[in-house]
This record gives sequence, structure tokens and C-alpha cells, in this order.
Amino acid sequence: MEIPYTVRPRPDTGLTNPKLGIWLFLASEVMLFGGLFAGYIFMRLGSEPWMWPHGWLNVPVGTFNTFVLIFSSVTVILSWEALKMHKYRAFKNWLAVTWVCGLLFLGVKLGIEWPAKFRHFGAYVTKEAAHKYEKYLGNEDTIIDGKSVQGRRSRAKEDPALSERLFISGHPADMEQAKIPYIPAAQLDGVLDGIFTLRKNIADTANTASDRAKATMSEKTLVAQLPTIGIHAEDAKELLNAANTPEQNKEARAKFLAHMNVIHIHALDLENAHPYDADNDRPHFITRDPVDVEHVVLNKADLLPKHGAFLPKLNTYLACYFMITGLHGLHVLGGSIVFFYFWLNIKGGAKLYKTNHQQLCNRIEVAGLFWHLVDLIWIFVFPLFYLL
Amino acid sequence: MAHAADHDAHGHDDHSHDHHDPGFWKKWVFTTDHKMIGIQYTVTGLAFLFFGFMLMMVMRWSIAHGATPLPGTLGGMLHGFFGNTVFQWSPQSAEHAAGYILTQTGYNVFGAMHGTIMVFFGIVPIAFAGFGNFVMPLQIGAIDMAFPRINMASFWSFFISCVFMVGSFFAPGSAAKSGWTNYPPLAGIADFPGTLDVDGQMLGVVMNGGTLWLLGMVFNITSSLLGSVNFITTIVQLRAPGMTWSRLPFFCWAQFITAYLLLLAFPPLESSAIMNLFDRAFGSSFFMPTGLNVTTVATAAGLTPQYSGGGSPILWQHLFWFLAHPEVYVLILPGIGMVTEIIACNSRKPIWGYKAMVGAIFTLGFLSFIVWAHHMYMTGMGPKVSAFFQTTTILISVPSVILLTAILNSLWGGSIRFNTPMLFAAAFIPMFGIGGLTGIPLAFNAVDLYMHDTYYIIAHFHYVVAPGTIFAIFAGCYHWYPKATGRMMNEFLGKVHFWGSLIAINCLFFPMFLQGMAGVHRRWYDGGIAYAQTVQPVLHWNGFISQAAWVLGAVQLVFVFNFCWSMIRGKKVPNDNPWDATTLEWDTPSPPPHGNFIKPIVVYRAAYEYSVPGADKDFTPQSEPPAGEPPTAAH
Repeated sequence: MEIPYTVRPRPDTGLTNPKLGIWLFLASEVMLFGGLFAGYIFMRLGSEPWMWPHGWLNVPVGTFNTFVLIFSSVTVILSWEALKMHKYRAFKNWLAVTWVCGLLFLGVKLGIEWPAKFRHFGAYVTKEAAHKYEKYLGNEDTIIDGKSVQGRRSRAKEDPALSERLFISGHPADMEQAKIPYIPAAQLDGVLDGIFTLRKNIADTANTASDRAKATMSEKTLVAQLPTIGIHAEDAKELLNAANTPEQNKEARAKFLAHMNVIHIHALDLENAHPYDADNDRPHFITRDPVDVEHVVLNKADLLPKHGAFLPKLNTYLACYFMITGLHGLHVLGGSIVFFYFWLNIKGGAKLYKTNHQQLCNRIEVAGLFWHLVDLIWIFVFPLFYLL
Repeated sequence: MAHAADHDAHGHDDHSHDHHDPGFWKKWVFTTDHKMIGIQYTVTGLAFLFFGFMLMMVMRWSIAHGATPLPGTLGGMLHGFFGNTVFQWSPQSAEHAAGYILTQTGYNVFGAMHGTIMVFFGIVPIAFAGFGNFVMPLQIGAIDMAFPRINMASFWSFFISCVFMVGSFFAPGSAAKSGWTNYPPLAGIADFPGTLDVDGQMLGVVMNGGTLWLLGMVFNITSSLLGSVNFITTIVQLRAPGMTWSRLPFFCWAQFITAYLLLLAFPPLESSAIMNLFDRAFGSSFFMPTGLNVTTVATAAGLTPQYSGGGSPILWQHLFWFLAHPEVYVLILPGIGMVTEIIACNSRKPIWGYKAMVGAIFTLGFLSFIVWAHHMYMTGMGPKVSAFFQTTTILISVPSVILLTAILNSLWGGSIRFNTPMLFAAAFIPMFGIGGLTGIPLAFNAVDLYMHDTYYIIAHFHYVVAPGTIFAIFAGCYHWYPKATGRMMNEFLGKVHFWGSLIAINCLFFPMFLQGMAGVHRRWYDGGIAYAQTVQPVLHWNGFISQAAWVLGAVQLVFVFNFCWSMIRGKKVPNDNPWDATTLEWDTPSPPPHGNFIKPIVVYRAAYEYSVPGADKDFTPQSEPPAGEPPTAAH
């Protein structure tokens, strides 16, 4: 049993089944990415002016990737054309270039662009604490090399789009420690004192096995809360074992908090992120470790509680960025796999050249249509995220 | 003659292919045959309809008896299955005996899952995927769907989504619990990471009911996408010779438009599900606004809530309803298609205004994309936006009325056969009419602000979907059962099922209009005892409605019995066309073999040539050549 019109077009519609199918699929893809872009528009329109970042991404790398993808859209056409003209070698070569370009695009994303966001660290300073970090924010007027330089607050008078900067970023000494939120002393005391009180009660009053079991359960529940306020299991154990009474424990706690509630970052890279350079006052996603940079100690109590690596959690811009480029990346991966499959000398791939030439042409054409849509989506993604 | 020879050779070739034995797994489970996939969808969907109905029965107990324990062993069994979050032991008191009580969270879980399951796992799989898959290729004279393997992938993607949905009941804190719409940030707070459940266990940070709901929806939407591409391609490409667009049975037109709605309306929910999963898994803030006060929940568990804020809860509502309003037409259009077929066949008349009906469903399909915000009047979106959506909502009633009028007019002057499918199809007309007309007041902002989230809404959309689409589904089951199995369903049991259902379902839903207009809110888990001062005069209906629901449930057992029993003991079909119908699906053996048709199919006439003046019998099948023409000279 063979389904009609899989290879030859139906005369009255002029279409083969796969061609109609792929156009319908592309229509739904447009709606899918349309939903995501609708999300982007909502988030951007709804954000406060100083919250929506500009110029964070690496434009040269993005531009390179844009050209790689556009080039691959051309090569898939060349491959299809060569196939139609029965030029087997040219067909294979152009197809290979196409999927290699797809993988190159992904390689740049996976090797350079995405990981850089995991190594970088960002935090919003609260307005009250901003003066402590003025040197790294560049809001006040200052004097550099004997010349007076306008800060952002003065420049904002001429450019209303510009506002006070409260964002500070850099490479932390210990990323894991830096990501842990601020731990208020009262909160830590609450949990630990609760545990000590419980232990005391067990020792004093619990006589029966069931009482003791109940008390142990409650202690487990309290201990289980420690990770949720940012304390790792080993640290918690150390804290609990430091002493037997709350009084003796105080010192250990203070030491612990002093360590946990600050972040050491290499923040001020004058070459890449100068706070007084209007064109260059942004995070630098470089892969090498910055040299000649200043070491900043941020107190976590001065930060809005959403500091961390440049991940979706940090702000909605990055959430949009990772979501849309991530889903687009999956499409590039899917397309590359399909082209690789057609390129292989197997039954459903390049072997069709001899057995069913027309079907192979159709396959390349249909996959090419998908590839163009993937390219088209990137044509929207690139200006929205990199340039605007 | 050359043509004839060609056809014969081709037919013979097909024939030899049809008889190879594909083996058990390939035939019954991993099948690519559209008929078997249709049956898989229908049976799975029917099972989910009963499951969803049972969830509601438990809720109705809580409403009718003011949140008292469930009777004896039933409570114990349900507690054993659903766990402590949903059912809690309640000791004996002055008001009630000891037993398991449905908790408030449990009520919310059941409410959310009742809606989700009925819509996405009951009706769409049966009405669109089930009947569409089984009937549509037969009606257009195709040997199978255009992409049989994608068809199979569609079913298995649906199956994975079923596993997620049912599995979510066993997640920490039980399944999704914020209504079938799952509005964030409410849904997020309900599953907030770090909240303790009733056993004192931490709720899952990511793997909780709401997240599993979203994952289930992603797979469900993928399944719909694969299905809809397949349906449209099949209808455009695989129509038999002579099956022009104007000869297409109306059921196929309805499936065609439905497939477009699925294709274009579902992806936005997929994107919002992806965003919501990002919020849950990676802590982003697409739907978490700045300044959201979740501290009560968070501090109870000793937490500082961690999110960047700046998100928009309204964005979810827009994307959700952009899907969910066309979804309403996904629910109803296949039903209208089935009813139209059955009414034409059993009133022995061509349907009245075929072209107007086709035009009407095109209009309906288009308009359904621009009415979604009438679900969101309560968000305060402003008079201008709301005026636009009020206007389009009123406009969309025009094509709906055209459809209903055409179906009603088709009955006029017919010689009607009141067999079971016809009874259900005929009952569809007033039931859908009530459902549709009661929706018109809701189109207006001013009325909706009052009616929003009351039982009036519940009654309105249940009249559309339950005695509307589900009656159409029953009609379709009785109508096409002989084609699928080669046996008839029992007529007497069918009539018991029909009359019982019709009476019980009206007793069930009609009083809800009264309750709703009096202000009874849809989410009062104890039936409104706490608000008795305002709604006392209508609370006595709670018991009556619940009893009607039990009767309705009992009557469905007759259908289940009939459905299973007729498969083995039902009367064998007298011939391949027991209803004397005109469309092509009756031109094949019952059940149709792999490849569907054992003779070359050519279409010569429109879909509903019943009682043609001068013809020798009261129906002329589409494949019957005009008098005096040789049977195969088609083109």
C-alpha cells in the first residue's frame, strides 16, 4: 500500500504531501515563536527603564553566527540546485557545508556565548547602598587623569533614556558561594536555636521512644530548611557541631555569616567595562581571566535578592535570551541532524540519488524550507537581543 | 478501457498488500493504520471522560454534603489512591460520622484536573483525533492518512502526555490545583518550592503537579500539531477522483477547520508552557510580577522568595486564552460535523444550506482567533480593548446561529428515523442552542463582571460541551460503530442511555443557571455553606444536582455495557451500509480492511443525495455513477 502524491505532485493542487505538510508545520512554528516574541515584547514594555539591559551580548560573535547561518541557507539552495542538475559531488559537498555550518553555529553558542554567562556574575545594588559602590557604578561626576568627567546622573539630564546605574558585574572568586542569597542573622538564629531547643527538650523530657522519634522528626524538618536558606549540608553540620549551646555557637555563626554574606568579584575591568565610558560600561563576556582589574567586596545585604550568574534568574532579559536562543538552537540542531542524515550514503539519504532521484530532491527542498525558517527566526533574534 | 485495466491492475496490487499479517504489536499497538489509531484515540478518550467524570462526582459529594466524609470504603479506597494531600481522616463529630474527607487542596486538584482531562484528554482526542482519524479518510476515499507514521507518533505523543497527567497525581503535593487555566503566579504559589505538604514533607522544587501539568501539555500540543498537519494534508491531497471541494462531506469540512485551529492556536500555549517551565525550573520571572507578596507562604517554610520580578501574569492569560478560545471551537466543530452527517442520513434529506454552513465554519474559525480576551474582562484591560472583544464575540454568534439554523432546517419535511444516533443528534440541537444563547449575555463586559466565575458560567459551557459535544460523540459512536466493528449496538439499551442521559443532564446543569444568577461561586468547596447568608435560597439545589449527576453516571454504565457487549454479541450488520447512507465510508467492508477500499473509488455526486426525485431508492451513494455512464470513466 503506497500513499499517493508522496513524490509526484497531485495535478490539481500542484503539491506533494510533504511540501504541504512542511508549510503547515512552518505556520505553526511561526505561531510558536510568535508566542515567545510576544513574551519578549510584554517583558520589555513592562520593564522599568533601568532594568532592560542594552549591549550586553557580544555583537561580533553574534554577527559571525548570523553570517554562518545565512551562508548555510545559501548553500542548501546550491546543494538542491546541484542535485536537480544531477551533479552528485557538488550536491554532497554543498550539503556537507550546510550541516557543518549548522554545527559551527551551535559550537559558537555552546563553546563561547552561553558558557560565558555562567562564569559572569551580576548584582543589582539597592538604591540606599549605591553610594558605597559609586566608584564602580559611575553615577556621580568625577575627575579622571585631571579631566572632569560627567557621571550618569548628569548625563541623564540630556538623555532621558539614561538613568542611574545600580548594576555591577564581574568574575567572582567563588561562584557557588556568590550565588547563595543573603542570609539574615535572625533567620539563621531562628532555625539553629529551634534545633538546640529541640535537642534540649529531648534530653530533658522525652522519656518514651515515640516522644523521641517525634522530636527527631521535627529536628529533621528544621534541618531540611537549612539548604533552602542557602546553607549547604556540610556547612550546616559544621555549624551544628561547633558547640552544644546557642551561646557558644554564636561565634561560629558570626564567622560563618561574615564569610557567606559577602561576594568577592573582579569587577572593574577598565579595558572592557569602564563605568565612565558611555560606549563601554557593560559586562564583558570574555573567556580569559581579566587582568589589572579591581577587586570588589559586595555585601549581600546591599543587593537586591536576585544576584547570581547571568542566568534566567538574574533578570527577564536573560530569561528571554536563553529561552528564545535555546529553542532556536534546538531547531538548528534538528535541521543539522536531518541534513547529516540525507548526506549519509544510506537508504533514506544520498542513496536515493540512484533509486529515487525525485524523492531526494523533495527531501532536500522540504528540509531546506525548514532551514530557511530557522534562519528567518535568527534574523529576528539577532537585532532584538544583540543590537537593540 | 485502458483506464479500467489500469484501475484493475492497481486494485489487484493493493489487494495483495492488504492481506499480509502485520503481527500483534504492529496491528493493535504500534499501528500506522488510521482506523486503528482512531479507535485507540477514541477508547483512550472515553476512558479519560469517565475518569474526569469520577473526579467531578467526588467534588459533587463535597458540594452537596458540605465537605463531610465520603461514605465508608469509598473514602478509604480514594485515600489509598490519591494520598494525604487530597483526602484526610476526619473523626466522628456531631455533624457527621468518621471517614475520609476531601480536603480543600484536594477539591482544587480535582477541579483543575477535571477540566484539563475533559477538554484535552477526553473530548479533543475523541471528537477530533478519534472520529477524525477513523471517518475522515474513509469519507474522502483515501487509503490512509497522508503521513501514517506521523499519525502514530501523534498518538504516542498523546500517550506520553496522558502518563504525565495521571502521574502528576502522585507528585508531592498532588496534581495541578489552580483550575484548568493554571494562572500564574497563583499556580506557582500553590506549588511553591519549599512549601510543606500535609505530611510535613518538602514539596518538590521542580517536579510538582503544576510542572508535570505543563510537561503534559507540551506533549499534548505536540500531538495536536502532528495530527493537524496530517489532517489538512490528507484532506487537500488524498481526496478520491471526483471528490471536489463542493462534494466534501460536511464532517470533513468541520475537521479541516478544526485542524487549522489546532495548528495555529495551540503553539502559543506551548510557548507559554515553555516560559512557565523556565519560571519553575530556572527561577525566571516571566509571570512573576515585581512586588508579589508570597512571603506568607515563603516565611511559613522559612524561605526568602527568590525571583527577579518584572513579569506579567496577564501575559499567561493572553497566551492561554489565545489557545483556549479556539479550543472551544475545536471541541464543538467536530461535534457539529458529526451531527450534520447523522441528521442528513436519518432525516433522509440533503442538509439545508451546505454552502452557507461551510462559509459559516470558515467565518467561525477566523473569528475564534480574535475573541479570546472576553475571558479576561476581570483583568481591567480598559474600555477600548474590551469594546473590541465584545464586538467580535457578538459577531461570532452569527455563524454559530447559521450552523444551528441549517441543521434545524434540515429536519423540515424529512422522513425522520428516530434511531439512537438520531436521538442524540436531534437532542444536540436544543442543548447546544441553550449553551450558545446563554453565552451571549456573557459577551458583554457589564454582565460578565457579575457572572464571572459563578455557576452560570459552569452551566453555560457545560451545556455547550456536555449535552452538546458529548451527545454528538455518543451519536457518532452509535452511528459508526457498525462500520468499525461489523456489529450494531443494541437499540433498546441505546434508547435507555439516551433518555436517561437527556433527563439527568438537564436536571444536572439547568439548576446551575439559577444558582449562578444568584451568585454561587464556582470554587466553593463546601457548596457555599460559609456564604449561606447571601445565597441561601438556591443552596438546596446542591443536593438535587449531585443526585442528577449520580443518575447520569449510572446511565453511562448502560453505554459502557452496550459498547463492550455489542462487540461480541451485537447483531451483525445486514450489509456494509446499514443506515442507507450516501458517503464513501459506507462503500467499504465493515470493518474496512487495511487500505480501506476493495474497489477503485470514484466520486460522481454531492455528499447528501437523499430522496432525489425520480431516483429508484431514497439515497444515491457518492460513488454511484450517473445512469448510462460506464462505472470507471470518471475523469
